[in-house]
Amino acid sequence: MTSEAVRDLMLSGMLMVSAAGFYAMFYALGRMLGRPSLVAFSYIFAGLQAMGALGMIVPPHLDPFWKYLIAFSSLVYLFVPQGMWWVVTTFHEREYTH
Amino acid sequence: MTEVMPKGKLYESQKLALLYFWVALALFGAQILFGLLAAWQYLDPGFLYGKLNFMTNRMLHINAMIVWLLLGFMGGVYWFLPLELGREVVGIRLARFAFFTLVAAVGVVVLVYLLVQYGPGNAFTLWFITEGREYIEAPRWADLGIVAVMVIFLYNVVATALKAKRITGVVAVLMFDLVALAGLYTAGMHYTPNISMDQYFWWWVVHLWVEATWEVLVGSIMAMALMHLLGTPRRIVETWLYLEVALVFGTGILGLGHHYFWIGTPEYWLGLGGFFSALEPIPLVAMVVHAVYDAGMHRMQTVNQPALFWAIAQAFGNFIGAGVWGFMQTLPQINLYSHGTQLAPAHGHLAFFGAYVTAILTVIYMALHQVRQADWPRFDSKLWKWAFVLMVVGIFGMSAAMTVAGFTQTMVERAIGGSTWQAYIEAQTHPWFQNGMVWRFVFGVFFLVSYLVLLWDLATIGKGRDTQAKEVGAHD
Repeated sequence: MTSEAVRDLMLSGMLMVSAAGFYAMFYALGRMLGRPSLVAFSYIFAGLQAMGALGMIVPPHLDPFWKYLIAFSSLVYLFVPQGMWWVVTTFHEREYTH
Repeated sequence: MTEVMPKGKLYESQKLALLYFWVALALFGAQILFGLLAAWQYLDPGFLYGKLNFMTNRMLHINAMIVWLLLGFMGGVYWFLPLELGREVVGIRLARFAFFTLVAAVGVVVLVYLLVQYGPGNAFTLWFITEGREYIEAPRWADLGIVAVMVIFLYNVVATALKAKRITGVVAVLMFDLVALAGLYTAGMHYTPNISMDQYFWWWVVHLWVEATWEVLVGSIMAMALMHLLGTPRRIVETWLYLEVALVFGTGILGLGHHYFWIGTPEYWLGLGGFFSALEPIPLVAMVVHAVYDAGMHRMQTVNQPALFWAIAQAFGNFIGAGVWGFMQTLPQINLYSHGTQLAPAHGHLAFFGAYVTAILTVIYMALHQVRQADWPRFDSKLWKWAFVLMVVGIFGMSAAMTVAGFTQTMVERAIGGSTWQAYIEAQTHPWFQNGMVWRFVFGVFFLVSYLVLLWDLATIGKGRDTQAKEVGAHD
């Protein structure tokens, strides 16, 4: 693997996971404060997360197994905030109605 | 919640917990001090050469961290256990004995490190100076002592639960985890002439012990803390705890395979370790959503704001340190080049701070609230925010500097230079690496200042008002 490939993979990986975290944070914050604009803003980070994943998948540096794994992770990250938000709110609502 | 903490009264177990906390904080200071010395020796390798060598400072830096975090966790359990079970800890005298023995043993081990440092590779050195295992260099007698203290700790938790005839979900998880905590540490005491096998078991201690059993232990402590700090219902807290245990088993245990990539283990570890490691950040991202929800639900308002802020920092710190900085170098294709560079300590510093230091500080602030201002509605000071911000900036600054230096090593030494000696020297003398080391030291000093601010705050917060708790002993 060339040094450029190592550099690109590292930076793409960092972008992918950190953007996933910002996406989750801003999405949850937007839902919490009832501000759709903040939720919309969070989708920018969802896009960056997907870009990070593409940065690892598109170049020919990785074998197909790893590309599928990154693609799967990226797909999961796209739905983690919504899914987790649903889990958290449903769970807490049930608890407080008991 | 199980029981409202009686105002102004402390269980004997809680008094012991306070001792654990103060010794832990002192060792935290030692960790920073020796870390700074080691950081300076990167810039000036001749500094204290022959008197206090780099390897000694690094050894003390890392081992002080392991011991102080362990003491902090034990203090946390001894603080919350009587509240969780509604009675005094059964073996409190034994617990006290274990504490003083442990502190004395740590003192002896540190003195040996400082005065002797190393010896011939024979049984005497192994038993009385150092086992020579990176990160867990304690001599074998001290290792056995740690296991004995863990067994006493386990006994106290189990016996107290049985005596109280009450085993909550948190306590059940804690009991199983303490069995693993005592058991897995022994893996570091096995020796075999096969270096791959030797490394294989060594990683059990560094990864399974520190990163798996500690994660569950800190999860149990934070579960108890959140019940008291935010009044979070037990069912919610325990469900999250079960979920965390499942995740640790699901991705964390096999995720340790990323340490098996290049130590001579079979090739399937590349796929196995890489697969589970790649999935490890997903639950951490999910926890970010939960942290935002929890903080938002309480509008960042609680009777103990310092504790709340450190608790929130725990969720984010875990994600950034373990998730982002871990994933960046965990795929085998990247790890081949980044393994053992400054990227590893960058990840380690952020992850340990985010996951563990923040949790212990949460509990310490809660304990001080009970001790000093139990009947005050708000536990606050002007200084804690400074300590919080400075410490977070300090750790991020250090980690960023190490990341730049590690990136340079990965590129210049490994990817471009092909890991030759010449490439090693080129990387070490590269401006990005050297500047990284300078900034690591600068932010290290910054972190030391933040520690002093934190210490001052912990020593003074809540004092000066007529609310000092009267230590009236057990009340069950």
